[in-house]
Amino acid sequence: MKDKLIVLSFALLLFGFFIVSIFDKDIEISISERRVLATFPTFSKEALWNGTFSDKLNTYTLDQFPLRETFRKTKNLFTSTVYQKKENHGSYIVKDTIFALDYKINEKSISHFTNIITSVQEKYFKDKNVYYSIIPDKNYYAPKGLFPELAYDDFYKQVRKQLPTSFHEIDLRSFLTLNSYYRTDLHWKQETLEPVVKQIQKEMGLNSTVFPSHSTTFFPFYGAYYSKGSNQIKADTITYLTSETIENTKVYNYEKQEFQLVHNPENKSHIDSYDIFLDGATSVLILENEHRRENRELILFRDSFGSSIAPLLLENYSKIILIDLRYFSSQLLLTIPEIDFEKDNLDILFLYSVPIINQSFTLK
Amino acid sequence: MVFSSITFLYYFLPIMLFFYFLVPWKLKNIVLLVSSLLFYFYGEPKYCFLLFFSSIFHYLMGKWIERCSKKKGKLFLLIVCLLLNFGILFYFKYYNFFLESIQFFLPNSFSFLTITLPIGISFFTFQTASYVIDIYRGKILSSKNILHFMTYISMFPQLIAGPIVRYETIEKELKERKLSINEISLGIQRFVIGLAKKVMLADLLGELSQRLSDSAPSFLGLWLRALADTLQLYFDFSGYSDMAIGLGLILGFHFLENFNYPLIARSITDFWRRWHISLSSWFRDYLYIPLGGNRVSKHRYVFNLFCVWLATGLWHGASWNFILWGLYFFILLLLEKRFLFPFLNRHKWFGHLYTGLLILISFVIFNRTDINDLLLTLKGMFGLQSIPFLNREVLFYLKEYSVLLLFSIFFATPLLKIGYKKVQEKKKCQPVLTLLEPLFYIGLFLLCTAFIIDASFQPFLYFRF
Repeated sequence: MKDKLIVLSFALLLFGFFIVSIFDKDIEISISERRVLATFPTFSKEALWNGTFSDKLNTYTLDQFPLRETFRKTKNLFTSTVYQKKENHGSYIVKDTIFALDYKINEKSISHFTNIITSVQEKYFKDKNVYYSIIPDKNYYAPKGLFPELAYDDFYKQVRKQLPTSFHEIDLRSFLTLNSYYRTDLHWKQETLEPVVKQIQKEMGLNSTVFPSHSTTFFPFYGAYYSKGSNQIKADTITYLTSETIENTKVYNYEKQEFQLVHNPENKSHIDSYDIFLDGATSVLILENEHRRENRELILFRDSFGSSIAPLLLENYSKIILIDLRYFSSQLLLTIPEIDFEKDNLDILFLYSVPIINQSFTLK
Repeated sequence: MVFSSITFLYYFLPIMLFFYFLVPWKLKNIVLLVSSLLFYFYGEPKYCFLLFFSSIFHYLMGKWIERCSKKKGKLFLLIVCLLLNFGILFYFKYYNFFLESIQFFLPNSFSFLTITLPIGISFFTFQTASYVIDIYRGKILSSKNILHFMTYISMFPQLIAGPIVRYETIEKELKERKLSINEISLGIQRFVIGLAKKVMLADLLGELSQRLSDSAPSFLGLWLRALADTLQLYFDFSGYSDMAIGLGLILGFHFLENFNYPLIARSITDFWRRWHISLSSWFRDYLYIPLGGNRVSKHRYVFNLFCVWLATGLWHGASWNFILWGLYFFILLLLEKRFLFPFLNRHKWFGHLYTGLLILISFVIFNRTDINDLLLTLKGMFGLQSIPFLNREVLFYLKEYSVLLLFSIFFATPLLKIGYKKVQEKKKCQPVLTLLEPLFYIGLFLLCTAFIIDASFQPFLYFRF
């Protein structure tokens, strides 16, 4: 009886999944992993012979296996409950928050970063007010002693040491808390950035402005780390702030050569809802606040964190140009006609997060 | 194709088994042969012909050796056959290593070849060698059916990672075998256990080892990595053997055991009776005993042992660390046979500790192909390098993987097997087991699937867009 049951159930499993996987419709995108899933590989004699066909077929069968997400969650539930492992795919869960386990200082990367921004400053903005600020990742605010963390003081010191003294540092560490970050994502929350904005304004000699109070909220927001939590963590809520200035700002996407919105609520359905802020990853954006009387401009070299803070600085500037050096080479800055390199009231701010500085080789 | 892949488990296996059980007996070997060649072709298209021609060549050579009436003629044919067989192995596996080693003394004298090692070549080369040697010795008769012989050589359950199955073991079953629900069920159970060892233990232990390797070195970290490496190797290899034996049972074949809880051995001699049994018995029967075994002079005996362990080391890979690994065991076995046995027999617990420690060190040698890295690691493990005793990373990983390590150590002992047998013997438990066992194995198989699928998890983070 026992043997019959084992053989029967094993056969049912093998043939059941085989048949279902043959007839099951392929899924195009994995929302939780934020990536396109593999499709059935194109067959060719060459691909078969050099083994690429079988490699791709292996990836395809893994990506398109029925109940893939359920299986993944089951595995993670097993390792977290039976093996008592809180680390999963390089992330660590503390209560309801997911942290990325990036704790090694990449000295070469820091040097690359400082070399790039120093060369930008020396080449284009020699006589301008140049500021830089490192955005700490949320591990900085994580409960201590639970997992290895980056030696932040050393990290900050290394960056400072490698930059010319003409770079004015704005240290934001005291102006953020763990609550300033999404639980399931690496980014900061726009609605918590008032102390950060005030500090930037103070350090850059700008007037203190009224923090936008009108907010729009969306739920659920599945952050970049959400899938690593495997249903153990609740999704986040994403909020964006608006004001008259923000609403009246014209945003020009230099890459697409078209105007867009500061906050685009339609992007909440994107794989990454953080695209609500300035449409996400974009090489060059020009934000024009036509109601601003004082003719002061800011060039903000930034990563994705910059998308949510830039609108909050609009009260201080008539124009903010956002440049992402991952997608736009620093050698090509002269090709952007909107930048007036000779302008007197021009501030330069390099605002980069710790993870980007520590993995900066994409900066050009 | 590996057993622990979705392609094998949910595509190859159901299709193969469907045809295997559907066709009449006389066609089963054809199904098995064709599926085995496809299995090999899928992972190694280029070398499928090598396997194919090696099978035909050894089949013919077996026949000629058998038919040859003169002893010298038989010996000549055997030598030619073995030279060709091991020549192919040498070319693919050792040629570049050999040149590299000579180049140390004669720099820039040779040009290297770009050679990909055919999967499973060490296993099928040894199988074909044992086949012709056994015919020469008159221990077996040559195969009368080329289909049976090719099925034996290329049989997918043991083709790429062993165990090394001798022709005599399955000769009868190649011609006629029985399939019973009981044996198929046993095969499934064995296969699932092997799969679980591989994906639920070995792969995670490998992950731990990798993380420790990426961490800053510390005394405890190096020992912890040695432990993780040892357990990983054991569960990986024995898991694969379990899967092979299980698949064999499902198909009606009985392969010999390849592992018998080697990590509980009381001496290194005992360890080698329990670890990769098919390989150690191969070297015993086809190298050690022909060299004279232990019934020779002391010097000759030492030489015999040296040859066997040099060959054992080299079999595992073309690198100096494998030679060192083999010679490490040569010295230990010599010491045991000469001095340590009486002491080890009297102090069993010491024997376990001593063996465990030496095995950990052996796998440090095994895992480091870079000799400088090996020396640094060994120095660090024995306090000869100025590294901290512990660091935050190691402490973190120790905490994270402690349950897995405890489970692994427990499963490396026969305690579960003994306990389970006791439960099985109780009549009261029989009805419960009848229901629980199928649930357990199916649940375990699904869990293994979950582990395999989760390995494909590749999140794409925003800031790396």
